[in-house]
Formats: sequence, C-alpha cells, structure tokens
Amino acid sequence: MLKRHGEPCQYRVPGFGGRLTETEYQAYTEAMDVVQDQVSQLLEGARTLGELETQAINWRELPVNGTSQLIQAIRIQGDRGAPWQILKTLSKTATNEILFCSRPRGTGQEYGIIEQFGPHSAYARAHGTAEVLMTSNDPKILIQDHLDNEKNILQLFRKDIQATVEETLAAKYPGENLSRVVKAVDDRCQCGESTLRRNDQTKTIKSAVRIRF
Amino acid sequence: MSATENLSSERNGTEQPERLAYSLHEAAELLGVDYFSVYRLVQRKKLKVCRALRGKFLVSRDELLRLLRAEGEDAC
Repeated sequence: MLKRHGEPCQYRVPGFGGRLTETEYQAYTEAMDVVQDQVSQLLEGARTLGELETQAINWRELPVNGTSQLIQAIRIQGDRGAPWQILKTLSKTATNEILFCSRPRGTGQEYGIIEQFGPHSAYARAHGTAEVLMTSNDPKILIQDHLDNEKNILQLFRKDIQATVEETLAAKYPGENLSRVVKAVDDRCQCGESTLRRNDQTKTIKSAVRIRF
Repeated sequence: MSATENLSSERNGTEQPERLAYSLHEAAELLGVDYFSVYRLVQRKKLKVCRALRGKFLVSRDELLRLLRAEGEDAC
C-alpha cells in the first residue's frame, strides 16, 4: 500500500481521486465539519444552475408561468417604471427567488432578472423585497449573462470555502502541510461544477453542428 | 431584536468581545438572505468586503450597519 510520511494512504473521500492518510482524513473530517453546510449549498446551487442551463438551451419560445390572466406583477422599491411581470422562476431557495420578468418599454419589451427576498429579512426591510439584478431588451442574451454571472458567483463561493478550509487547518494543525486535504475539499466542491462544464461542451457541440449544416 | 440592533448592541456588550468583521456566511444570517445573495451583493459592489490572510472574504460590522441603514438610498 502507498505510504505518505510513514502512514498508509487508505481513505477515499468523495470527488477526490487519491487516497488520504489517517492524519489527512482526520483533518479532512474536521474541515468538512466546518464547511459542510457551505459545500452543500454550493453543490445545490451548481445543480440548480446546471438544470437551468440545460432548460435554457432547449427553450424555443420564451417561458411563461401560467396564463396571461394569472401573470404575477412585481414592483421594485423606488422604481417609477411599469411593474414587472414574472415570466419564470429561475431558482428558488428558502430565503430568495430569482425571477425572469418583463415589462413594456416604449414600443418593445424590457426583460429583467429580479431577486426577491423574504419580506421579513433585515435586508428586505432596508431595501425592499425585490431588486433588479440585470436588464436587457434581448431575453436570450440576458439569460446567458445571468448564467455566466451565476457561474462567477459559484467560483467566488468555492474560493471562499477553500480559504475557510485553509484557515481551519492552519489553526488546528499549525506547521503541517495539508495541501492534499485542501485539494480534496476543493475537488468535492468541483463535483457540482462538472455538470456545468458538461453543459458548456454540449452547447459547443450543438453550435458546431449548426455551423456545419 | 433586529439585525441592526443585534450588531449595534454588541458595542455595549461586556460578556462577548467586540466583533470587527464577519464572514460572508455570518453576514448572510444577519441580513436574513441566502448565501448566494450575499455573493451577488459583493459582485454588484453593494457590499464592500476585504480579504483575510488566506483569501477569505470578510465584511466589517460598520459596512453591514451601513447596508442595513441604507434605506431608500438605492432607488432605481
């Protein structure tokens, strides 16, 4: 069996190709205890984004929630324009919703990505229950920009988790090189992002086929 | 007790040491929003953050208080 610093590498952890020693595994467990909630959120976020990206590729027409009579309207605090009509809920968690909306503007339509917060949250009390994240007159470009933006946020989140793991390990195991543990946690986080990369590859193949024909 | 009061009252507390900064996850709990929402606020530069030694994002208590007291300042 492979040994590292005299210890056999015998522990497998999800997402990591190598095996960890007893010390590394103990450090991994302690680090995961600290960031487990964040890793779960990251994986869930990546899964939701992957699903949305797959749906968006297949959208031939703009999605609409329900019939025109049931379309919900949403007003933004301080916005004097027309209320936004919700076309689709892009993602939903216990405390927020990301909504794809539109409203008339001039002779055409304006599209927007709106984040809605829980009405009782401290942030919503100070800034209102909804905020416009981005707008465009082209819905497909808007959705693509939103997806790209969310991927950047996932990257920020992943780096923050990695930094938290490094901080935790440095405090509990001062002077020890546990870079493989940091990589194991990071690889665990990247499991969710692999779905997004697969979607990117599918898109590239589809556009390549489109060019050929 | 509101988040603003929570943050402000720490100044007068004697039992716990005064916190100067919070992680983004603590900030999310104080603001009552999703983790991702806080990262969106950072990305949109509505919430200013600094980085600790190992690159971890930190948000100062004053910045959180400023955000919670910024009522009506962000009209579209």
